[in-house]
Amino acid sequence: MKNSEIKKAVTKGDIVLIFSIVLICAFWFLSGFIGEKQLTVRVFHNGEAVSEVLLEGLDEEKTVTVGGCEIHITNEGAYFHSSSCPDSLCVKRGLMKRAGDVMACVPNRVTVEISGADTEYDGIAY
Amino acid sequence: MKDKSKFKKAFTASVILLVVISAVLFVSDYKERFEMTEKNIIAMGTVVSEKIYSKENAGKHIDAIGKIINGLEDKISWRKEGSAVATLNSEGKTSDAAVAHALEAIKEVSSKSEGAFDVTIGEITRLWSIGEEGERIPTEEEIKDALNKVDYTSVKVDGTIITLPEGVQIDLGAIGKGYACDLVKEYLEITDAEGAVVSVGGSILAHGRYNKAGDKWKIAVRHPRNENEFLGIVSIDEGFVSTSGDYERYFEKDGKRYHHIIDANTGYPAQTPLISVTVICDSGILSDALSTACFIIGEEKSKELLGAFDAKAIFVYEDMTVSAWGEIDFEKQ
Repeated sequence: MKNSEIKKAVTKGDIVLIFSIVLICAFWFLSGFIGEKQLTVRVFHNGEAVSEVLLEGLDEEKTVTVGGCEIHITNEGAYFHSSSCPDSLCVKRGLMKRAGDVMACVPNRVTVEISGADTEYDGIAY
Repeated sequence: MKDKSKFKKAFTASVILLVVISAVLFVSDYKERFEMTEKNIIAMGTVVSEKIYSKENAGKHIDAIGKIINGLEDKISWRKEGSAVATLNSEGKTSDAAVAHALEAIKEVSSKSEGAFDVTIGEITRLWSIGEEGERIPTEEEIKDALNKVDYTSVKVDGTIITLPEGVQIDLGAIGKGYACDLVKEYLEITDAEGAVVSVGGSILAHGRYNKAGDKWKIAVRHPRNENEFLGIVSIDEGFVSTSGDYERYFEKDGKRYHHIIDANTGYPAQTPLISVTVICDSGILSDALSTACFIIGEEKSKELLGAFDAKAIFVYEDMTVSAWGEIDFEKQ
């Protein structure tokens, strides 16, 4: 088929249709990437947010001190460095680094969570 | 004629394309998750993670669930002065519908596990105090004395009235989180929430659905020897998932691990080749009780017990061998 024949076969309507389809597909594809995707550590005390740290590009360790707990945040994740609580279970927990992870110092009512990236699960049984 | 034929072809192709795109968009909408709100709170001495699929009232549900769990803790915690269980332990008698229900619900687990699972173990758990200040290995004499007061058949429940013989101490710690999941489910059933996953300290309720397709919930099971890894993913339609393991609360002395799951027949941490048991069933209180009981009595004896409650389980051994009982959609990682 020659170029001139193709031009004749394709109407303006076809072009509008194809353009619309491409637009819809692009929007649908991109919409999957919109939203929070970067790993973020959030620290709460008594249910109130006290700190929010984006892990990507975090060059040096950040320390959050709240409610008798000292939380260290690196570009890998977060951990309770020390706590005034009697059992120190929170400190024994070590580094958490996955999206969806939560750890807490229950006696001091401090919660640390990682959010951002999609997870493959809805909950963790332990 | 030629133009007409070309037009027909172009028209047909356009229609087919439109149908395909509509189908793709329809399926994508069908699989897309509903609007979800999540929050982690501290209740019942643990982390409660709530994921609520509700368009308008998620915040309200999150707050209500926190209150439900705190309300239950006020009744069943032996540590809380004035709670129904604290009163029962100190006075030998109390009236409380929630505690009476719990005791009735788990009686059969105690009898079918031949007393290995027993909530009258309170004095023994206090002797060990594992994971708390003052944790220690009690003397044989102390264990022997305390064992005399362990007997689930001595608990009498008449309606909401519960009586205990003198010295018998109830500890509902093994079923409290699962019980909370049951109450959360009762609440969610009368709300507009399409679905929810609520974890009360690792005991899981998966309720309703998260998309129009009704795809299964995916529940990760913690690796018993590496907190930052999963053993695998269990896929379930709805229900409860509970895990008991020797890793959650323990101390080590002279190279030996003393974990918090006490065999009520011996008064010592359960001696078993298992390091973790995960139970899936349609009751939170039972999934909690069964995971503890199965951990104590081992895989072989557990089969009859699980069968009696239509429950399924995943057993993990020290050498990381994994064995499943019942039809479980489990993907090992």
